[in-house]
Amino acid sequence: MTDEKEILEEGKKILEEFSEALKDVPETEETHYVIDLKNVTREDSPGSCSEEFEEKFKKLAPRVVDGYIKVEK
Amino acid sequence: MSLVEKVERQLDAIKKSKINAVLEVNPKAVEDARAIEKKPKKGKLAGKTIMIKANICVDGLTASCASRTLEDYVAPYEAHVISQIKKEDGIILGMANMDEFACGASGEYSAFGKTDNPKAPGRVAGGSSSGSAASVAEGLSDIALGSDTGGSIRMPANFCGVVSFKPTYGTVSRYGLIDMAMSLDQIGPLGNSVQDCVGLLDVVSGHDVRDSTSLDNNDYNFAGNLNPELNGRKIGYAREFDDLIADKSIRDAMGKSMEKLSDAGADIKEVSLPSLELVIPTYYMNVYVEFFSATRKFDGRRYGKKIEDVCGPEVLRRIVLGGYISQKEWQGKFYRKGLQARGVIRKELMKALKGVDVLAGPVSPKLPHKFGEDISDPRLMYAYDLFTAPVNLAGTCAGVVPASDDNGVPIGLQIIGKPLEDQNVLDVMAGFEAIG
Repeated sequence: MTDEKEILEEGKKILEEFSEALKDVPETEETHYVIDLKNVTREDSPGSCSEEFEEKFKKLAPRVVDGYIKVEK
Repeated sequence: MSLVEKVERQLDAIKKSKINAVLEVNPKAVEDARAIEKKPKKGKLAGKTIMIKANICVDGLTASCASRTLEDYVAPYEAHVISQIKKEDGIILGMANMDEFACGASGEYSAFGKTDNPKAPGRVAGGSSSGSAASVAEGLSDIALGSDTGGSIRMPANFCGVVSFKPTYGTVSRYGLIDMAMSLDQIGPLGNSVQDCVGLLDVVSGHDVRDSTSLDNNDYNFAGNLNPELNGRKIGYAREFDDLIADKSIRDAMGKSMEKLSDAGADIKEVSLPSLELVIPTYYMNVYVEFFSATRKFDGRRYGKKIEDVCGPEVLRRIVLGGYISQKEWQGKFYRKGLQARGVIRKELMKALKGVDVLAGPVSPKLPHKFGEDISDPRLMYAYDLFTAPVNLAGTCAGVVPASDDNGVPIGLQIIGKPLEDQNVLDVMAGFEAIG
């Protein structure tokens, strides 16, 4: 797509400019998150879903066949 | 005036409004108001009407993110913050306009048209929570919710002359927020007063197991603990601020604001933020990658449209550049450097905050631009984030309170606090509001 190509070519200049601005940042610890992430898990059991939610979700789907959302592989 | 009458009046005002702040109204708002009026015991938000940024899921309303991608996405569930608001009898009035997927600082990048600034007509309202701030400023709702990734609550509040607050990361659950950059996003309130903001903040804050970054704390009582006393507060002002402010009227407004704080008994101290000039490259290196990752689910298969097929240029830019960085990251000069610089900026901000209660300073280096001004170079738009993005990079808290104006164009004062010391920030905001 032309748009994407144009944006990428212009964007590369921005990235190089940003990269140049950051080149003197010392090799130091990387900050991904400012707080410790916790793993949130639930009991290993079949999930439940209300009929109401299921109906609402199916309405959003482009294609529903036999009560299931059908998507392209 | 009864609650029902107020809701009807605001819905009518939304219909007549010319500023394009609201994308959709809640068709059940009047019905909800009637039900609340009949309740013998009412919740903390009874009587308050609330506009919701269109990237927060409200069951039955369209969480479009102001994008063609999700223009038909009727949220099938409630965000945590919405459940909390409804429990406390707040009335959801509608969905607010915004920059598409929160990618913007002006409110011009909505797929459904830009939002005008009710306080400075013909100028941008600020973004990305443009409709939230403009709704409050024009009286279309009492309060509003926005989301803030690099200043998206504070910038529009600044430009529209209202109050806003971005809490410490993890204070408010992001469950049901359609993320822009999940390590930086945080939901927060906008209102016409600090009191209005803390009332909403108390309701939406608290632990939620469905957000893995939600802090394990349910003891928030910002309204009850609000102390506007300024006497003896230590307030820092970074010496780098004045050099980086582009518009003289903002520099003057900062000088006068610091004088007012000093006259009220605050102890003003000079601090330093030497890496402020690295903020924009650091912030965008992080955002491009996180946003690219966040948008991979918008492939149009199960809901919505494929994002790259229908999105606007700024959203496409962030996706394309995020994808490019991800491919080229073996060099370590983009994302990895951005993550390292994030650590440097965070440490510097913490150091500056060490000897003071809060920092005070500008929200934006420049006044809101007029519609039609050439901002086609994205770096001109990015520049707005200079003083707000460090707060997100550090995961700390900050709020904005109106300070002055330049021929009617609002200028806000930003108060920045240490992580988890949100109360200090709100206290100083309330104190400044009282003397403003």
